[in-house]
Amino acid sequence: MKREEELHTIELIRNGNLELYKVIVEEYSPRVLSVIRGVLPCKEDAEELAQDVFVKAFFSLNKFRGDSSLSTWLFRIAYNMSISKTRLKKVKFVPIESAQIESNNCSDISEEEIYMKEKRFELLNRLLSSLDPSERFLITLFYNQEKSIKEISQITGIGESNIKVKLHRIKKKMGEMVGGKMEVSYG
Amino acid sequence: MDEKFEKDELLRDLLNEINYRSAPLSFAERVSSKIESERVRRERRTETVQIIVVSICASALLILSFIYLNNRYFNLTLEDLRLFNSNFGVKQLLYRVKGIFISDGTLLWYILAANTALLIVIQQFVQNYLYSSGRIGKS
Repeated sequence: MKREEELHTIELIRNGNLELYKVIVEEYSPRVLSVIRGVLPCKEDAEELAQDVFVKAFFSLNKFRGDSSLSTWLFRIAYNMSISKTRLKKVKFVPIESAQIESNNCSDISEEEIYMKEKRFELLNRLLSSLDPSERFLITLFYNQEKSIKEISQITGIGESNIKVKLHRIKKKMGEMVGGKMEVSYG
Repeated sequence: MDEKFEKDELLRDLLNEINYRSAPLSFAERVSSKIESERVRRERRTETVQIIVVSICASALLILSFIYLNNRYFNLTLEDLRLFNSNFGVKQLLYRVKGIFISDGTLLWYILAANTALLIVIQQFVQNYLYSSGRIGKS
């Protein structure tokens, strides 16, 4: 959705068009869900929280000034809510199972591929469990959503240099996990 | 500085595993349903707050009017309330009340009563109008 179109849609939603909000939800929910899933690996919890994010966003639409993109604004709400949830309930990390994730053409996957996938999930779980919720959110924004350091700073409220340091540490940790194969070239 | 950050393929590939390609089934419908529930909850909360505020204002007004009426007509003091426990006190109090209702100021009292009744009727009309126009939700 283009920016102007996005702002026009938001204006119409503010005037009470709930049907148009469904379009926004359909468009942004996969992205919001993906980042929340990084923080809350339990699928049901993540989906519940993602719904709450969209509900909160709906009632806060009047506060959306359009300074940032809608996705950045939604990610900010998602960040605040998911961090609050992990703090409030002290959510323990639940390992992600490969079966929980959508998979295309499951029948076409060979045994070797399944084995590799399991290994990847094992590594992913080890990595995510070694990070705190804020760091998990940060790397999903950076790698999954391709957000820039500046945008991540806007979303999380963490300083840009601090984000770079955190990313460097995460990569270093990751490098150690895969046996030093990963190159850490900056910091 | 941003461009200097290389994106490691391994991390991206791994995290890609938790990526949603599309919204889960009926996700938008569940969000709409939650929005409706939240809207009702917020309306009820607003109504409750309105009722509390109106009740506080009405109580304050009533107390002030009692104080005014007492100062203007009854002039009851704490000493009178203590006398109320004895027969002498009750007798004295009843005489004072009788003096108020059957005196030169009686007409003023009747006007006050009529005004109060009129205000109650107006309040009922306004309340019914606000309910029917949907400006105030029914609890």
